[in-house]
Amino acid sequence: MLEMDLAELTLRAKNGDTAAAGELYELCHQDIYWYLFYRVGDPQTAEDLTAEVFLRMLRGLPNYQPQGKPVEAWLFQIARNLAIDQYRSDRHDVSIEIEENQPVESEEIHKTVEKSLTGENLRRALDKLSADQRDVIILRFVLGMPIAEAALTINRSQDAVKALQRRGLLALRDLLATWEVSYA
Amino acid sequence: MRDPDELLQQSFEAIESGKPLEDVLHELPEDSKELVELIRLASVVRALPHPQMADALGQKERILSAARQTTIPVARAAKPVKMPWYQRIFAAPAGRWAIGAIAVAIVALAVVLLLGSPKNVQAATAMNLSGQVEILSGSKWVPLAEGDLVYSDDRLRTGPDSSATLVFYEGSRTVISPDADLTLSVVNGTAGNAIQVVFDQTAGTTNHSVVPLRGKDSTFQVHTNTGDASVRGTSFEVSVFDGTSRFEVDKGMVLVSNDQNVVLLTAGQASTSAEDLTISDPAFEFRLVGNVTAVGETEWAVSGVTFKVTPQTVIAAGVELGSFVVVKGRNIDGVRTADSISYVNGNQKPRLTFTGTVETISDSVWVISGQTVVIMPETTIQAGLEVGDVVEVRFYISNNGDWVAEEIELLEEDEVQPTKTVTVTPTITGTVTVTATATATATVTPTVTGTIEVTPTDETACVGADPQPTGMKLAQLYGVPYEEIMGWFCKHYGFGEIDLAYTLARASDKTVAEVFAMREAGMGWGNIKKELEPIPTPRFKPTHKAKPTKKS
Repeated sequence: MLEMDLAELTLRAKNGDTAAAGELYELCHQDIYWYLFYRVGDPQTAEDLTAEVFLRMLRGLPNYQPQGKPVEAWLFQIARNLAIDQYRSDRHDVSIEIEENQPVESEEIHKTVEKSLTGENLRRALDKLSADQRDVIILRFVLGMPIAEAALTINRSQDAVKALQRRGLLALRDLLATWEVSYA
Repeated sequence: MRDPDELLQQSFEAIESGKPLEDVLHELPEDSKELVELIRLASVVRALPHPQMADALGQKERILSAARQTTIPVARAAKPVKMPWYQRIFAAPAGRWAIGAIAVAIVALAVVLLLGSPKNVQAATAMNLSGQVEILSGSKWVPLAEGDLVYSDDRLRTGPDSSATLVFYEGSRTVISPDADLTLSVVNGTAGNAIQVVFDQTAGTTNHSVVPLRGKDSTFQVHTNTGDASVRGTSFEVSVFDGTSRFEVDKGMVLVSNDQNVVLLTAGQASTSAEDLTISDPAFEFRLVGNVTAVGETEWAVSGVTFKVTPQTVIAAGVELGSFVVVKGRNIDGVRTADSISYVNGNQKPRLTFTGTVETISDSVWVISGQTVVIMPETTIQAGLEVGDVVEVRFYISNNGDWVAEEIELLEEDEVQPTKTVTVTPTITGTVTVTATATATATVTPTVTGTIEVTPTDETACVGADPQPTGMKLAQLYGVPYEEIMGWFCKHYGFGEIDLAYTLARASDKTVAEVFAMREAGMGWGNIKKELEPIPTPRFKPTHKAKPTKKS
């Protein structure tokens, strides 16, 4: 789907065309869901947040101005903010849980990781990266987003994304090596 | 050696365009073991099966249902126009009486006090001296003493851990940091009228707090070997390193220029000028005061905040892991890049700050120029901030690497028109109390102790016989008659404002007159920029322009 098509759909949705809003959902929900899944880790939470992204999109449409960015960049920005909010909420919940139960050492977590690369241990590894590195790895290699679009999405220069891409992969490689997870 | 980031990206592009993975790996240089690993890892990640939503169909139905209820074109409500402060005051009858009474009292005081003040003020007063501060007397350096007067052409220098403040008669101040060398080339003025201050700085850092200037002859400039800073009321810093000068603006606007280029800096921005007379585009600045926590070939970290180090970064001798330093840098295309890393002067505490434009706001996180910062309940946020505002963020790095905001404050210029401060000379002492009672309800009792506030009127013919160099530069830059530029200048606009107005007019469908009309209506430049320049665009910067006039 060309960005031009997405832009046109967005314009139509902005003008009250519900079918266009449905098409936008159809075209973008999978990428948004994957992004959120690798950010928050829980499939159901990712699904709920995906719905919230599109509900916020609908609320924001009357005032939406493209400002030179693809529609997807806007949606990912919404998703990114929701993921950060969720992370903070989870962190609070986890801290309460840990206080109530025995601490879970990180070594224990590592032992449960499977020995070959799967979506689950990729997600665990991504969780250890910096937020920017994690975003770039997800956008570039999970969603297959071109470098230029990834740069627009996270509001960085292409050079910055290239640097984050390499550093993120290096960190991922080192983590997987530490956990003895093979991917070759 | 090729940039590994670029080489990796080129490999990915080849794969994305359909080239077989093994062919791409085969073509890499022999010593590319690391790149091969990264490319293989990325390929495996790409090929992983990713989870599917359990109920996409049901969710779509819910979205469509919501769309039917909410996707209705909504005409944006007209935002009420905020009345400027002076109009709000004058709108109230009591306010009019009170303001009138105050004005009468202040004008009377101004007349009395100005008549007693010196007509020509041709020196700055040295204050707050610390450590080794010297003035060149003939061919000898002699210590400067508290209260000494510094005249035109006096050359000053400071030693390590030393500093001094020069105070000018109209209230402007210059703080000279350690290891500085500069000449006060011009200091001249008439009380209540114009002032000219020109520094020639060859080393070190100076910080300037300039009282808004009025009159065509008023000027406050800092010359360096590679660029000059010109202001009309602002707060800014100039640092001179070997072959490079760095300009940073805390408040207001500064025009940085040399014989070939000119750039306007607004609050929160910094720029550098080099020996080849290039001036970098304005960029938001960051400043890190703390211990060096990582030292790499191209990337360092201070207090856990990483930044790029380039061959142009000036690093003080002996700085190493653990050193307590101050890093001054700029956010260049999303990459934090250090301009200088130096030892901390005095007793500064660890402090991490950066400036940028607010992009998104939520209860728990804000995005500011691409950087996500976490908002805590204890975060201090200046009231009224909104998307598009230029802010300074003070933050710390949490244990999990989050940037947590401690304070977020607006950096735009003040909305209030500045007034000029006239400091009474020591020959006039005592306290004057004036009581002005308005017949309505207001009773005003201003107490004046040696300092009065007046708003000077400007008055002289503006276009003199000699072309004004900055006016000439702007005329050439925008391809308009010199007289047109000076016409705006004569209407009390600074060259920085004129430059900004022409840039904004170019970026929008407004005329320059309409842009100035917005300013006249009481809008601040920050709000005008937001309205006319919704998408931040790079500043127009000519390269290798012919020098319009010789610098005097």
